[in-house]
Amino acid sequence: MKNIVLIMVFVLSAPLSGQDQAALTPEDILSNVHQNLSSSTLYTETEMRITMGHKTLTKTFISFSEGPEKSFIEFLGPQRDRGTKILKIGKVLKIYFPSAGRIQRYSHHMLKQRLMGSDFSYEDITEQSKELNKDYTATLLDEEEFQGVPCFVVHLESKDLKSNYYTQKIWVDKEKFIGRKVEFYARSGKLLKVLTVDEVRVIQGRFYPVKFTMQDKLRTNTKTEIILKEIRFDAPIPEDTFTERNLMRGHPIRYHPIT
Amino acid sequence: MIRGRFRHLAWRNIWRNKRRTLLTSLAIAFGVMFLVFIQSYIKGVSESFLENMVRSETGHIRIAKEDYLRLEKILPKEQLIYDFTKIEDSIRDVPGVDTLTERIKFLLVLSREEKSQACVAVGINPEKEKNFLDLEKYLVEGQYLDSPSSPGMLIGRKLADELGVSIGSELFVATTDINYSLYALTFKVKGIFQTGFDKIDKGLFYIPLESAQTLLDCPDAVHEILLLLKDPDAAIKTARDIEKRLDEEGHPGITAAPWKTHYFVKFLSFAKSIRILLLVIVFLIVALVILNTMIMSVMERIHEIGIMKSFGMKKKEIRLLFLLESFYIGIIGSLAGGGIGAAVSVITQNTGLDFSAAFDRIKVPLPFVSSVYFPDFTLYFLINSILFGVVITLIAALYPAVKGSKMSPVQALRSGLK
Amino acid sequence: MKMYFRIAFRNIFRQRKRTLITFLSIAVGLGLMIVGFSLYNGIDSQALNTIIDTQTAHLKIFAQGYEQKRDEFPLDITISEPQKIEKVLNRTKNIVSFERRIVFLATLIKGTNEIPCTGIGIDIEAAPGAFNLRSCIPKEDFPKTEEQAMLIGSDLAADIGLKKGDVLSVRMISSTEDFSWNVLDLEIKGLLRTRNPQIDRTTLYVPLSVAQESLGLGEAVTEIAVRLKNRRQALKVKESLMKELNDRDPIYEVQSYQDLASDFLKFRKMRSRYRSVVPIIMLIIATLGITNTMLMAVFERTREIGILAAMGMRKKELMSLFILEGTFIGFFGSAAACILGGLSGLYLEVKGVNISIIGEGMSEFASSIYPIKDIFYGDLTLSSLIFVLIFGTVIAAMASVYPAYRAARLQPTEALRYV
Repeated sequence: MKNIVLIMVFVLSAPLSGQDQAALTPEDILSNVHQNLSSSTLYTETEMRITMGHKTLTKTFISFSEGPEKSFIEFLGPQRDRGTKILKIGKVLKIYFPSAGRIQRYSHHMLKQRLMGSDFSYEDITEQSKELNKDYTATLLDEEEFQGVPCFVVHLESKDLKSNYYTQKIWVDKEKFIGRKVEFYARSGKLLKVLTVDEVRVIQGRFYPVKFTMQDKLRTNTKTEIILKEIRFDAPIPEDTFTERNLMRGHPIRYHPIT
Repeated sequence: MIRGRFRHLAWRNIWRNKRRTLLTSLAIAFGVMFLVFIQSYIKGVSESFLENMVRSETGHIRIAKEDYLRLEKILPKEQLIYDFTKIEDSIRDVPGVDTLTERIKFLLVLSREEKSQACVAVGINPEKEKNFLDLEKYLVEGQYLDSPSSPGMLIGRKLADELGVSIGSELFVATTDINYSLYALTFKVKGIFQTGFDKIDKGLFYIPLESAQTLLDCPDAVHEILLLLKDPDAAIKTARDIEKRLDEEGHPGITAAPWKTHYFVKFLSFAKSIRILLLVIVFLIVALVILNTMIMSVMERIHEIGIMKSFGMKKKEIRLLFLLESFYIGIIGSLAGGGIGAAVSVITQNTGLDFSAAFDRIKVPLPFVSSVYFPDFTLYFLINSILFGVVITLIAALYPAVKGSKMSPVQALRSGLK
Repeated sequence: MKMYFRIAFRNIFRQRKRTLITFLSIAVGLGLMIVGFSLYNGIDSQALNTIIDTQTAHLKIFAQGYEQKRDEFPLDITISEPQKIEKVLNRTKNIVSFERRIVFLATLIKGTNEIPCTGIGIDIEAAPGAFNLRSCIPKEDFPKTEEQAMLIGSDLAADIGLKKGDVLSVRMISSTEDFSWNVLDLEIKGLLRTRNPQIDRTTLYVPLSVAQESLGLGEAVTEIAVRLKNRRQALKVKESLMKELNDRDPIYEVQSYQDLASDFLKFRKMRSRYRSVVPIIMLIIATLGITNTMLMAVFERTREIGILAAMGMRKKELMSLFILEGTFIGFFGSAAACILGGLSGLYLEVKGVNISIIGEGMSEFASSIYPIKDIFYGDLTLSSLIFVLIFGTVIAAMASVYPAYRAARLQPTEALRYV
């Protein structure tokens, strides 16, 4: 009698690994991922390596963001790009050109253009923490290993016909709930971009991709690697960060310099 | 050699029937005037096309990367000639080379407040460029680009109007450079020009070469090197020499394109054909008119011919008389027509013929087509038109003169004086 | 009177050589004029025909508000139920054929370059359709319905370095407002040489279903193009269609080719000031030529005139005789000119003459300003033939008057002296 109770307690209190995960809906998977990726505010210091054929360009920038709506990016290097700042609020893009000392406002179609020639568009870089469940219908396709990591393969179809990444296929790390590979498709089924995560770390108690690579499949032979040198979640952001005044300011505000 | 008596007689004869003489001379004058003017006009037009093409686009020889020339319609930014100063130094002494200049060209969108216009930015060396497209000559407002220190811009009148800018206005020019970085500069409009060529006045603007290089991040690189030759017709051979020299010095992938290969030049053989066509038309018209009047004149003077013959004038002499008369009429008409034609040509040479009212309504700038045309008058045209007029007159008068001379004198006399 | 006719007629044949010369010069001269007219008209009508055949058709039907925003390629202003309109079109008189189209903004992605161009989704099945595209392309190059292939303007292909068989990524922009798009890989099945530089330089064609699918338009289209029996009915049909289609609310707008090709027509009008110059010059030369011929004819026959006068013919009769002769020659000469010129004109209409005859490179130059490429077709109209016939006869008659008058005035003795 005691044994049966013990066994039941044992069974009931065992970590619900295999069974639990089998009961996970694709929406659950996505919201777990979202939990990892989103924060009230985000500060990063980034190194972006763009490879085009045999040419490689490296740019560094810092960024402040509040969700996918508000972003502020300031380039630190190379010298040519130093001081160039980008402010995105909603779908409005404003860019400050230090060489001319002027701000230029751009219509939202600019958001789909490449950022500084990289494989990321302005939208890609600034809306990474967008909640996928809102805009996509998710289906669990399969379970597969990617680069040795067991993943859920989730298929996403956009609820909005006009979305540029009409479907996505995400390989979600079963253990860490981080996307390890994402394939972006156009409505025609054409593969547009592929994002692969190279390194995941624990930062402030969550899993986060610190090194990832994007490839624009419409161009031949290009890829862009992003290395996050510094990341802070939920840190307080100066009030006037998302303003034009901040665009025109002379020196960058950083938490501490890139080494 | 022609006896004074004849000359005197012929001269008096033509003034006896003033109306016919004047009418005939008028017809000749019109024809000759037309010839002078139209030749000047066509020369002016085709030269202006050619000039414009050579000076603004192709030079006599244009040196650029093969892929740049091939994809020229989309102006690929990254097809640059690096070390252009070295290249210029080495080709400067290729025989036949007169002057050269370099250019940077790329597409971008110019904007000012809410208005924007897609156009081509041309980075030039202001001093050297004067030997090519001398924009200073075409300035209607402001001044030319001087030092590269304060970035100024020269903009066409039409583009300026489109964007609503004037001298001193600032234009913000943003672009992605050859490494995809974002870069921008503001330029002050230093001068506004009007060449009359839509493609230039509406479609592009000029900035100092250094500013263009800064914008694109390509110091010591240019897209094109243009050459003017001492002898334009030697372009093909000189181009080959240049390519050989470039090969020797190890600059692969760079081509020297001579101007004659541009399709536009071939179009100019059209101008020649038109000229001939027009000459034929004028010839026909004038000749027919003269033929008419001479025939009528002879018909009316049958009696007079009879009398002359009865005075002992031989057929040959009568023929000569008629020819002389027509010669005089021809001279009068041709000189008058030539004079007027020359005057009109010279006047319009300076003021130009303005077709802009007609061309303004066309939105797309036509290549090499100007709205204002300047005839190019030369003495040669005047002389050849006058000669032509006189010769037609004589040829046309031949038939009536011959026929008229074949008359029997005796019966004419017998019919009594009229 | 009848006697004069007979005499005049016989006279003509008596002086065979002279008559022949006169006759030939009129025939050839006027014949050339006919050819000249036909070529001259040909430029304009050909250009307009090209535009109609390849670009505007005779009429186009849009959803209300489309035309205003046409430059933005608005895919939100569409005809959602084209069948409704087509029912009406089927029972409208004077309509020969129609076809559905979608016009959209596209870019060709080649390497790191994106080249903007105009994309048109065409109904592959529509036959004969409202345009003559099929005649510009060999049958096997034409894509099949639903095939992911495209036809591309030959100049556009040349500019970028593309050829038949290449597969290219094409971005089809489904909204310029928020710039959403779809990207497709399309194979270039054929190159278009339509004589319309606008098309050859900037346009690509895909099957309608492919466009609808990729742009998320369902069954909707942006326009329906209509071909009429006769171009002249365009405005009339436009009005009646507007009324019929919009009987309850204004949902559709109809544009005739005059509206759609207004830029070109304006350009043509500008030319029209100078347009009459060439025909007038031709007419002047013709007039002078005939007058001269007549004059010379009379000139030559001064002696004969003298004889006739001596035989008792009165001045008036003499004049009538000559005028009649002149008229006959003029008439027959003009008739011959019509035949000669007519045949040559027809030949030119069909075969055309290559523009490069005027000079090499002419066709490239011409096509940069006008919808005309390398072959120049004549446009022979019956009215121009009739005009020449009447003109030639009248001018010959009038031209004979003065010389006949002068001839008749001659004293017989003077005339007889004449050799």
